[in-house]
Amino acid sequence: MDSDIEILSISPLLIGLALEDVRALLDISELRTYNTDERIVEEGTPSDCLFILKEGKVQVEKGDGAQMVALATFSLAGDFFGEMSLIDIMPRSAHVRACAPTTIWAFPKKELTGYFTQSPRAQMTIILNIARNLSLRLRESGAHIVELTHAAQGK
Amino acid sequence: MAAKTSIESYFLSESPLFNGLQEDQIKRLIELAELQEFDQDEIIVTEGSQGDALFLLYDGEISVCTKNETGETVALASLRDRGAFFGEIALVDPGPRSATVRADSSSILLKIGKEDLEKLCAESPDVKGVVMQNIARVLAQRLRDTNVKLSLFSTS
Repeated sequence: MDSDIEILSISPLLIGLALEDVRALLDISELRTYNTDERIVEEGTPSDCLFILKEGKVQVEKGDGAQMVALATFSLAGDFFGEMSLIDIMPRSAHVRACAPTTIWAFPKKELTGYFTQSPRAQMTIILNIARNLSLRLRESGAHIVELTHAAQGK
Repeated sequence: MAAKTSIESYFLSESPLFNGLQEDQIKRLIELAELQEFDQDEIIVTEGSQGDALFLLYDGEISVCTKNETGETVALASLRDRGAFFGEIALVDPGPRSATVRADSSSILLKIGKEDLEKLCAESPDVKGVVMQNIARVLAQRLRDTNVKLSLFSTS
């Protein structure tokens, strides 16, 4: 139990949360396990929970078959994905697939928003962490697009 | 020189960034913000410089560009709609500007600095949550759009 709390409290999603909030979030989570190549999230489906990695490795990818493009991989305990479910109500923007035997905590949106009514401070901290993480990813993927544009121009 | 008094509240209250703020909070934000005018070809923000403010376009046309690793300029976007904005990341995560923004015609922009927003949050504590959620929404949509673009570069 304690090592779970350790992983969660240093997750970039939950950094800055009071310990009691981390414990409460662990209580509302579901532990899920996946085999290699099993799909965790399907692009286009309703976005109803967010995830924190306990162990294993996942790949975020977009598209189909030969057109599949890898967008990101996560392999550090505490890495998170699916957080846009807290931000808006758009369907999943990409697939997420386990690349190794993987265990994740799933936090259903309904339970989370229920918890936030008791702890608005937890909500603020998590939203800020998400916004900061999105900024970082935008900076990185913006740079990636510039590189790809450059490469596509055959220079 | 355009006066701030000519800026209507709806300019900000209809912005996805400030949607959900009260009328008096919007008015206060306009008071705290700074109106800036730029001539054609004037640089508004420079890539790599430290950024701690967001800009909303009130009048004119601006373009966003960046330099790739060989030093060539790559055009990223052109904005001409009233209310178009950029630099909102600075309110969440101040750091080096990821692009250069230039006025393509004489333009008027409203500049809202991190400290302006903080001042408003000190006076009205519920503002921070609303604005942060809105910024996260905007960033999430931008990341989605970026991922769509990246997926168009599929390798065969």
